[in-house]
Amino acid sequence: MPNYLSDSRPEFKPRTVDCGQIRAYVYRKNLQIELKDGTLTKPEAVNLLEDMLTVREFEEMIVKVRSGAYPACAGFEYRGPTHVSIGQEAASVGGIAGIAPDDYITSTHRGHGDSIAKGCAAIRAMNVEQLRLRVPHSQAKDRKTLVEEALEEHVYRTIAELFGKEDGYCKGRGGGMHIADFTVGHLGANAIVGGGVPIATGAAMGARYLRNQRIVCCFAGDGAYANGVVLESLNWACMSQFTNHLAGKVPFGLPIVHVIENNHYGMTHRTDDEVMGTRWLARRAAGFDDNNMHAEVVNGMDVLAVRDAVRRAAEACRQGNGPRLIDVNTYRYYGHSLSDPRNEYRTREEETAWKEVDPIDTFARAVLAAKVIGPKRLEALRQKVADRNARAAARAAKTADPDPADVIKYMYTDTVETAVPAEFSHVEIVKEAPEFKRSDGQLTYKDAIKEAMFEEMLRDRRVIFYGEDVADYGGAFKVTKGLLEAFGRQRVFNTPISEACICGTAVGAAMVGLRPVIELMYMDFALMASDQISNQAAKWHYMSGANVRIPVVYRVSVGGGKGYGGQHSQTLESVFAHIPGLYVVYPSTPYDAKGMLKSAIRDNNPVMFVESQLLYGSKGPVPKEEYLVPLGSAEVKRQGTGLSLVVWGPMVHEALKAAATLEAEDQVSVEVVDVRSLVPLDIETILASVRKTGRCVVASHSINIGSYTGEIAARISAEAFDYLDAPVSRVGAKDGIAPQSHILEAAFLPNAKDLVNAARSIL
Amino acid sequence: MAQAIILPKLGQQTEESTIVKWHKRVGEPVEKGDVLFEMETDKSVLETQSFFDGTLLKILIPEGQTVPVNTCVAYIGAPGEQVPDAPPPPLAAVEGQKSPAQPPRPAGASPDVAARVAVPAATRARADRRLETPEPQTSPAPAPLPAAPAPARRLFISPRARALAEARCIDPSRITGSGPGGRILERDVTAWLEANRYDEIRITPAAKQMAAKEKIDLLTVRGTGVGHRIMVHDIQRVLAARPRKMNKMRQTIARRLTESFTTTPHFYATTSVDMTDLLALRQELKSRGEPYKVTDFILEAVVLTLQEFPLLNSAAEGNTIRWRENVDLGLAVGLDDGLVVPAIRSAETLCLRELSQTAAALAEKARAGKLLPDEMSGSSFTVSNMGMLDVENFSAIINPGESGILAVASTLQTPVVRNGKIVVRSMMKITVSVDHRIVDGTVAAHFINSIKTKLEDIELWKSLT
Repeated sequence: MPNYLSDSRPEFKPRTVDCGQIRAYVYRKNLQIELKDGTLTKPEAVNLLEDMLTVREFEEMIVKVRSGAYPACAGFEYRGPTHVSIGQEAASVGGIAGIAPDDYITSTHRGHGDSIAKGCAAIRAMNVEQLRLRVPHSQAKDRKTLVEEALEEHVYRTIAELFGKEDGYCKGRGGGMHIADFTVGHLGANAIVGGGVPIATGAAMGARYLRNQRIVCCFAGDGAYANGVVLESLNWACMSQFTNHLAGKVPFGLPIVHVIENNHYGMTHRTDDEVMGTRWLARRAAGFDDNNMHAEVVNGMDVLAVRDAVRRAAEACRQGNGPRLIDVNTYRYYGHSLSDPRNEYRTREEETAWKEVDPIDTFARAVLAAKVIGPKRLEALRQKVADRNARAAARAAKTADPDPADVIKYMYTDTVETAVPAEFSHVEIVKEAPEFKRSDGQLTYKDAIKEAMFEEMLRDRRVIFYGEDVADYGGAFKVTKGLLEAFGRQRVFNTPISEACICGTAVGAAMVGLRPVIELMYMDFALMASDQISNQAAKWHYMSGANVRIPVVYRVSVGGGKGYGGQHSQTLESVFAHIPGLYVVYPSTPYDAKGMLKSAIRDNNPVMFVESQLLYGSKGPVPKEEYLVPLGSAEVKRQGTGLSLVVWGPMVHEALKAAATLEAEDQVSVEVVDVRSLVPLDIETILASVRKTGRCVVASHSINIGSYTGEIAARISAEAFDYLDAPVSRVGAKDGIAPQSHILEAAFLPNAKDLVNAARSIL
Repeated sequence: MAQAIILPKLGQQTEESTIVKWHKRVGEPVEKGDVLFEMETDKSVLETQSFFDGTLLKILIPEGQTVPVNTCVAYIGAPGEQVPDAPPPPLAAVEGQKSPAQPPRPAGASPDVAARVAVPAATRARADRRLETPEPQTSPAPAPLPAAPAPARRLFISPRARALAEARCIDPSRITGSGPGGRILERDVTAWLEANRYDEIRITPAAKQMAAKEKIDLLTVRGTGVGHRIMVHDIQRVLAARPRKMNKMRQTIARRLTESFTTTPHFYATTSVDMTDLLALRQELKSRGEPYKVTDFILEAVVLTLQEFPLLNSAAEGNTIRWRENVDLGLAVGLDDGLVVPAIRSAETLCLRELSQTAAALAEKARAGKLLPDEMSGSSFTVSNMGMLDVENFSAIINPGESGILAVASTLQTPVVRNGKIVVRSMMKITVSVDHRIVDGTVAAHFINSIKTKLEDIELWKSLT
């Protein structure tokens, strides 16, 4: 019985599609009204001012440090980017003030302001125990002092990160463009413009799934809203299945507020007047949601207006009425970086006009006018902020650099989720468990994958699964048929054809505690998602200084051998093996497919799990009993003494055939090593085999140019040189593009005969 | 306190910038945010704002000047405040991030001077064991380098086969390879070992260790132990017979003498000198406290004779004869491990006593290995005396750059005919080797007889001593 059948009818009646209206600048209050209405307290107003001053002081410090004009860092040479956000303080501070202290944010390469504001707001909301964790060596007795010390420590750790120091939030591995503090829900600034938006979307999915009452505030610039993955993400956030009947008992819009920090420039190009067709970026929302995502345009120089809009949006999201979009109209006083003089693309008059509505000056005047504080206290506040920054900067300049020996430390975590916390271990079958057709203890490769997924989803409620057509239809190759019925649409669902967003949301969901498994129908499509796989999933553990883990499994399927041509047939694991931070595995048997997928799901590193459509139907023994095949271990499939065939994927089966031929016709005893895991690579098993035999052919289905076979061959030559009796030989597909023609594809892909020939050439 | 205005480093790659324009004049008030100056980097022209309020007190870098980033370009402070005249050096990078700037060089000590000072010491060190006479500095065409020994044939062998050969302590170069292009494979080594009955080799562990270290092919070692076991002394025997490279001095000797002997047509003229009277005079002088060596008389006789035969004091250079102003007499001195030829400069200006002392001093220095290169080069004729080594006669090879060399043999009691009677006299054979390109037989004969005559002319020596 299907879960859901679409039952629509053709309908061509003439009508007008109403795109609705987007409101702009509707904030009518001011500081005095907010105070009177009780929507803002005086201390909160002072905090807003202090945080904006803190941001500006911090950014001005960067400019000064570069000019040697910051005495606290005299003699310190800052090497790193200078994307300062001066002018945009109200957007950052107002946005953060609009969300709860434990809500999530994602930020941008110009995100110092977001990061500082997020930390300040979170610290002020902390209890004494939490504060003591931030400043463990503090002698302070009262909370107020602790807060002040924690704020200074926050500024210090932010500067230290910029300066590339071990004390930085990310131990100097990330820097200002990748700064993150997961302890306060800051899921990272992102140096890929738009790259953080799918992560925010995934985090919102996580919050929605976990029902933890948190929302995500996704800061991104106007430039990002021309980026494909951002548009994919907006569409994703608005998916009907989150709120309509498909959501079952829990219709809940994705809790995400998209805050566009619209400073009108993408690096140096004008967005609204040059590279986009709309004056109102908020109109982006109209394309994805019939309610225009309740988008509105806000005066981004008015911290109270930003706070008000984000607050309303956040509250709506918390009620399940997300997603929301807010176009915050602000301005960047400096250039893209300090090497940008601005005069090539805008007038000084434009800058002057914006500075006249400076968010800090404006709000400081309002604070004085409302007598929240007097001029003396204002001056004292400015001085406090400046002194704090100077002390923090002086400390940061002097504190220890990371040890050069640790240059690649933190690339991977060696942790595995061996035990499931009780809150996630209770899983009920929604409807029915899938069937696994075992005969003589054997399963097909694809059923072995399904069984692994089923077992792991049953074991851990944090494991969710999504991809294109994976739910009702069970995937293009029926690998996952039945998982929807077993676990429901909360955990198994279809996605739009948005590969980048599929891969990126998984990163965000993982950051907030889920363990997503996603499927890419063809490995070729991974190239569309390569930023999210390679720059996000692979890099965040390292870039965060090991402060976050990305337990994501990308199941990708290789279509080679079916006559599907150049865009559906590529064996690309070598491409991803080149990306540090990612695990890449490729099982060749049903037994390994199940055991390794289970290991991959429990591993806390992002794993690219490569499957072969050629092997989906192949059968092999798969125990019903629980077992794991560890990642990073090769297997000797066949013992031999005269020649080693080092292979993976479908080539394992070709190698076994070739070994039989060589033994029969050439009287050579052939050993076959199934590499199984490219990263981490079990080089010892390979070397041990080559040391024994002295001859080696390394082979895979990939073309030879840049293939990982070359990496293995190089390692053998370097590490087993004295054992080689012949040069290491390689076999791969022809160095070209997979053809559609069956005749041509047969000539294109390597087979047992090619292995035999290669072996004979070195015997 | 006045604030130093620093030329900012605005791009990662920017190392220097040019001040294009000053927007403020000295003495003018400046507010924070005011544009102070415009600077031009390799990318663009940028305005630089002041971070300070105050008065522009001094401009250190005028418009148009290019300076490194981080240079102090101006001072801002209170009106009338004193500021330094010279800019402080550019801010040093944090320790460990950048190598420190070159310390300023002390005045007067140019690097050239330092280099000049350093050179002689180095040369002396190198000259300590200088050998033979080095090539004259003025040599118009340096002798061609001897052909490098033909490189050993590159052995094509698989790493595995090489490792096996090493482990078995055998030389694989004699094995014929069966792999592609004749590459020696593991199976070829195995077959070779079998064919040579390697398994029958018995060897003591110490001998095996030594053979492995010295890379001796065990298949070539004859074992002299019980049951033909290879012992340490068998390995040592093989090692003793191994070719060993000549030392530098020997290489130089070999090269120069080969050059001389293969490019200079030598011929020889020998005569016997009756030294009886001169030896008696020498005894007499010795008893008077004036010791002379036989060599001294010979050297003096040669010096005198060379002045009569300038051709023997010259050298052939292509189609030219190089004549010399002085007699720079070479004196062959045998050492334990070679031979050197110090030169007695302008020997014709020295009296016998001076000649004797100079020769003795040079010989002593030569034996001590302390001759300077200058003292070993540029001799015009050489005397090689083996009189003390009990030889009846010998001939010598001309030193390159000379046209003759006199070989002096031992003085022997010899029956000779004098006035029709056989008498015993102290006879010494001398042989001159000459370069036939410029010296003919007649000249050589006259030359050697002129030496003989002088050595036998006892009145001459009485006058010289």
